[in-house]
Amino acid sequence: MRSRKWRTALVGYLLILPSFTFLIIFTYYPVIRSIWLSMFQRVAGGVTAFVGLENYSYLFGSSLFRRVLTNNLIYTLGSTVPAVVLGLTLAVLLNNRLKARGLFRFAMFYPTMVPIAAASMVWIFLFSQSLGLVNYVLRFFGLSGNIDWLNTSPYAMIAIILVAIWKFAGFYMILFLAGLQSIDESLYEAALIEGASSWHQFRRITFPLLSPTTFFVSLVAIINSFQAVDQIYVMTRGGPYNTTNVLLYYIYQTGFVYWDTGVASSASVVLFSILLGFTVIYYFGLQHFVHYER
Amino acid sequence: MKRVLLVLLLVVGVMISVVSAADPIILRFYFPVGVAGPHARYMGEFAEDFNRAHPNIIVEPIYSGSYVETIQRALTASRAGNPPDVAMITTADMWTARDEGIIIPLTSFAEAEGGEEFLASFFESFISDCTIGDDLYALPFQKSTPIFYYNKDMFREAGLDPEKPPTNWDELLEYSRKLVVKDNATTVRWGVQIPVDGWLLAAFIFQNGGLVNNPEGTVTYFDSEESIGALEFMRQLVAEGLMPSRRLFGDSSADFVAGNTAMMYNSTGSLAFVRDSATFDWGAAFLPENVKRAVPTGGAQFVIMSGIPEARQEAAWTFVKWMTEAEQVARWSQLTGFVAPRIDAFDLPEMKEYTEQFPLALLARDQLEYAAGDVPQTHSARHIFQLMTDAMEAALAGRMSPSAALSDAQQEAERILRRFR
Repeated sequence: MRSRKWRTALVGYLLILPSFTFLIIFTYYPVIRSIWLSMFQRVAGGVTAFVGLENYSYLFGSSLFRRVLTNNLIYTLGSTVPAVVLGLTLAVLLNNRLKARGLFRFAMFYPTMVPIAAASMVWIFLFSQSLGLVNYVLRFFGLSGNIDWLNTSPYAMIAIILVAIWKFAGFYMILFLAGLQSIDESLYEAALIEGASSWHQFRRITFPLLSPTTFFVSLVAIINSFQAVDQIYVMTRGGPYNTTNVLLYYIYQTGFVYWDTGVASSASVVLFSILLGFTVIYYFGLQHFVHYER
Repeated sequence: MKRVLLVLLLVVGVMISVVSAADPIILRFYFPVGVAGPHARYMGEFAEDFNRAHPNIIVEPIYSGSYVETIQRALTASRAGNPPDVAMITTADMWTARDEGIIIPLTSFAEAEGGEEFLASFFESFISDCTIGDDLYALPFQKSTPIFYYNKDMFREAGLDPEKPPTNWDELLEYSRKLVVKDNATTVRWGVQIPVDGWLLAAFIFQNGGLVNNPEGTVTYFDSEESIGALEFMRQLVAEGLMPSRRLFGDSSADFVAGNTAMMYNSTGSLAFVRDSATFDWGAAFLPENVKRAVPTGGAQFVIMSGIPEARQEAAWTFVKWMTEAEQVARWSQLTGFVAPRIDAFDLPEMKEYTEQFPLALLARDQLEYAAGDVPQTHSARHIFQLMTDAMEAALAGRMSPSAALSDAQQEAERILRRFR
């Protein structure tokens, strides 16, 4: 009996072995290596010296790094909340029996399929001060349409956030649509008989039953916002005056432009901790807050 | 089955012996393209010409992206134990490559060619860009300096002599005031544009009699009176509405050819673009001076990588030496607009013909007399350079005073460079 249990366990371990090997090589080993490297600093003569936690004390004392964290927070709030709300709204609307529903869904999902680096190149033109469509539209509506979007603050950050919303809202819509399919149709029929308004249906049925999806989408959105780097690299390179410099771009810049591996590793460890924090919140939240109908 | 195997073995054996009979050395050469243009195609043609003249060496030019991407690729490839043989990198990156131990000094190679005499045919300031301490680490190839561009039609309109561009800072300020066009308080046409870049901050610091760093590359002088004065002057141009607070090199040349600015500072690398795109009468000149006339240099040079066999390093030297011969640098300069790094290149008949047709190409050469070198020549040079650009950006936008921005930059530079003393 015991040996049989043991054998089942062995089969289990063997089955997860391939993916676990990759996880160790490409995830866990680099994490540990980053922690290790974050305690070293290059000195004269092309050698590195152990400096303990000095890189961390530098990071948290540096006004640039504090600005980078603040920027990331602004970007996270500015991009996730509208993108998730928009995704949810679109999903609810496009779950109705509309004509050409597939076409609308496709149109909304389309930005997800465009590589963000390529899309950013297009957005650079759209945001151009003299020729850009964005300023043209603003002028059309009688607003001041002479904004130098990517060269002035706070417009550069607004531009980056707008691109992120455009890019991700459609993806969240698809996730919400999938969530909506799992809600029992009979609940709506019952509500209809009771004479509930569509807003009431949304508030009392759709939204509560969609809460696991909403929770999941919000978390994905937050994690996405900490992984933003492509559109910043292409559109602003962190400028003007570092107002669009976010955590991942800062790590890239420090590690692969300045070759300051120690500080870049410390910043990576900070990023890793933040993402780990969100993951813990996610699993904790799944067990305690979210409504599941089982 | 056995027979098939035997035949296969034979074929492989023959192939190996054929390859080893010719036995050419294959050199992998990373080259960047810093500006637009069909440079990659030209580079391929150069390599072909070299290979034809040197049957025992085959150079494979490998396009490696921008300047930053080139050093990234060279460094990561070297760390992975698979370095290229030759690379073309900036002076700042040459310091990093030296500190990382991925390039070799070329001093002994140069000495074997005649030492001082060999190097004397290059412009002195370019050789100094290739030198760290007493060692030569590179040979200059595609070099540039900033120059001053101005719109002659707008000069005439404003009642200024189109043959007399501003020669000093006072005139620059005065002319900018005359050339700017304002609608109430908003500027509709700029007097001048100085792109936000540490390179141009350095130009003003040099002109103000200051220095960017010490010869050892371990100290910067951002909080000196000269540096602060330089940035204060630039800030005044912005504060008076004569200049936009933030333009990059590409934006400025676009603004200039579109008639949105009367004057601009830009690289010699933009000469060809302005020549081909401007629909008005324009001119170029030396940068306006202040305490003294001075100009920084830029561009890229050839380095030879460490961690490859000696025979390959020698072949790499043969290639680098050939590429920097007068004929080649003259041809490259004509094709791309970069400044040829050799004095004797300008004596070649085809170069003379070219400069007669396009005399502005000589302007950059003549300005070299006042060259103060590439900036910054320090350890962690890219980081130090970014500090300069950030300080300039913050001060011009009025987010910080010039002295506060520069003292922040100085403090941060101290932290970075302290370790290298």
